[in-house]
Amino acid sequence: MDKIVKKRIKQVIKGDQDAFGEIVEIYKNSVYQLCYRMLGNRHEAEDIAQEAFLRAYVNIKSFNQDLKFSTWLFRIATNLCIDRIRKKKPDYYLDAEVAGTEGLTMYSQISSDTPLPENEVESLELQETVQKEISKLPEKYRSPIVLKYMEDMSLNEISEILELPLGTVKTRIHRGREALRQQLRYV
Amino acid sequence: MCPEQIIELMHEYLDEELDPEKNLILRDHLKKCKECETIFNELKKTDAFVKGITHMQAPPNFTANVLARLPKEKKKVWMQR
Repeated sequence: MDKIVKKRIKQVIKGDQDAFGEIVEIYKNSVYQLCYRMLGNRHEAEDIAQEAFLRAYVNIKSFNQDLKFSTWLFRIATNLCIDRIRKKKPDYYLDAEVAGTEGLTMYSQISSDTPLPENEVESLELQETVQKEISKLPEKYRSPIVLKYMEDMSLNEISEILELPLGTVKTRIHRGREALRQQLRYV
Repeated sequence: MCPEQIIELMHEYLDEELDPEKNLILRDHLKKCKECETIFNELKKTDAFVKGITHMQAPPNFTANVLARLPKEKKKVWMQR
């Protein structure tokens, strides 16, 4: 896949927007999910995910083609999410409410496709709860936790994306996980 | 309260970075300490919960919407900005 992406990047640099469309197709779910887990809100996630691809497109010439494209792309997306979080007032109650509302949207979207057996409804509620708690994490713990769990990334990759030393990434994942443990222990 | 190091070992375990020697230290301690055993179980549960979140898909028309927002100008123009 890396080979295809590299080829497409070369085409994009030559001005081929359709080639960029193929890159978006490959990464759209990952980037959207990353943004949603960071922001806890579907509209914001879509907005920021689109913005991330736009930034990647505009700056594609500055991408070092010896590196992994996904690392660069996820770095752009993560930074945009962090900017958005910092612009918001640190009002966790408001955040939680938004996350909850979005969860309902998610539920209604899924339920319109197929009827859900009861245990899956339960697990959706659980997922909402988990997402709500992720949304409450301080941003510096939230980013590494989201990258680690959503994309199953190695600690080294996370440290590259966040441009943080490996030790810092580990500490933040541990603290973030500890915070989640305290919130989720009685669930 | 147990040494901080034990909690650290639990996290290393969850990061799949615990070497066999430290693993032994952790296991030994957990046999003796109910409190740490509880914390370890809660951490494992948390880990499973967060891992268990379903993967999400981008909304319909996502790619088309991105492409529609790309700058229309020739790339030479926007590179000069």
